[in-house]
Amino acid sequence: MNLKSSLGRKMLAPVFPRSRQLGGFALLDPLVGILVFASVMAGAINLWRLAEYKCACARIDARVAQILRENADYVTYVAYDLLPADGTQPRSGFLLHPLDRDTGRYKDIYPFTVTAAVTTTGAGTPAEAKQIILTLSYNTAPDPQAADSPLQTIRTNVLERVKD
Amino acid sequence: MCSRGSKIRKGRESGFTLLEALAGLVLVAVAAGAIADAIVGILKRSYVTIEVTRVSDESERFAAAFTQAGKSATSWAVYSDRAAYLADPVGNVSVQGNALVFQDQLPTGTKIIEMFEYDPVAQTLSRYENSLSQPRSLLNKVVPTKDRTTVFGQDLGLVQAHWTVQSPYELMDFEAYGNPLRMR
Repeated sequence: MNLKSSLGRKMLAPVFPRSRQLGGFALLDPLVGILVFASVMAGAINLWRLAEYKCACARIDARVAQILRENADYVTYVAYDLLPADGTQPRSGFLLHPLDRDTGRYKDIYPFTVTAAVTTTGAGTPAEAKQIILTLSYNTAPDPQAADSPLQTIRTNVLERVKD
Repeated sequence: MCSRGSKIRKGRESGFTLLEALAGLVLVAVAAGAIADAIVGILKRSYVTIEVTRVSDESERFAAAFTQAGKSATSWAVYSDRAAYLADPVGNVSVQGNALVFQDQLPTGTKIIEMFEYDPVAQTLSRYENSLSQPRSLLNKVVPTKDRTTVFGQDLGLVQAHWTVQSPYELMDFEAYGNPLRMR
């Protein structure tokens, strides 16, 4: 009897933990799961947003390079007498024109100006030449609110033209 | 007492009730909806960026071809349209127009004709090389840049093109300049 009762106790002993296993998750389990899931999603979305921001920056950079290339071509090929004067703005406008879905019109964002800095050497002589540096300035926000200026400035190398 | 207490305890450990599970499902659904909305927005904007970059690159390549053709051409002329060029390539030369023809000559003497043509009806800008029936490259949804009536023009020997691509997502302006013949 003693042996039987002790075996019976041993057999019954695992029953209590089993009933705990069948009792479902504790409150802490799903909370930890949700916390981990939320952390992963927050990280993934922030990473995605960063990638998106970098894409937008790359788009602006490409547009800036395009405008400078166009203006450099113009300065390189235009007749000498039609070269822009010092301090003038050969071109201005907006970098991007995204479609506004609400109005169905293209918006104008990020205003820019191209300014020519022209240095003339040997003026009035047969060796007269001009060194031209184009500077593109643009704002990444049309109405800057931040204390730091969002104004960006890009300059070309010196473009030299000789009067033939 | 002991028996009643163990029953209560066992009941508490038997998992969530239906109401709790439903409340949890609603919360998860709301969270998943918000996350999905954010992800769909990001994917849409990524797609727009990719499309805009693709259209922009096409026009950039077109501008590069224009400038390259201008550098190597032995002569060029602007015409009001293709018909004017085909009818009289010498007499119908214009200051502005929608057809621009570059002519180059290989060392062997073979002539190469390269034509850039804007079709205002189809709103396409195309580049032809030798054969005028099969375009080498084609841009869609193109209009002349604001305040211009034609795409091509010349100003004191500077041949130039100004066009705007009206993509469904963004308006894109482009300019291209060719090397004047007198600078050779």
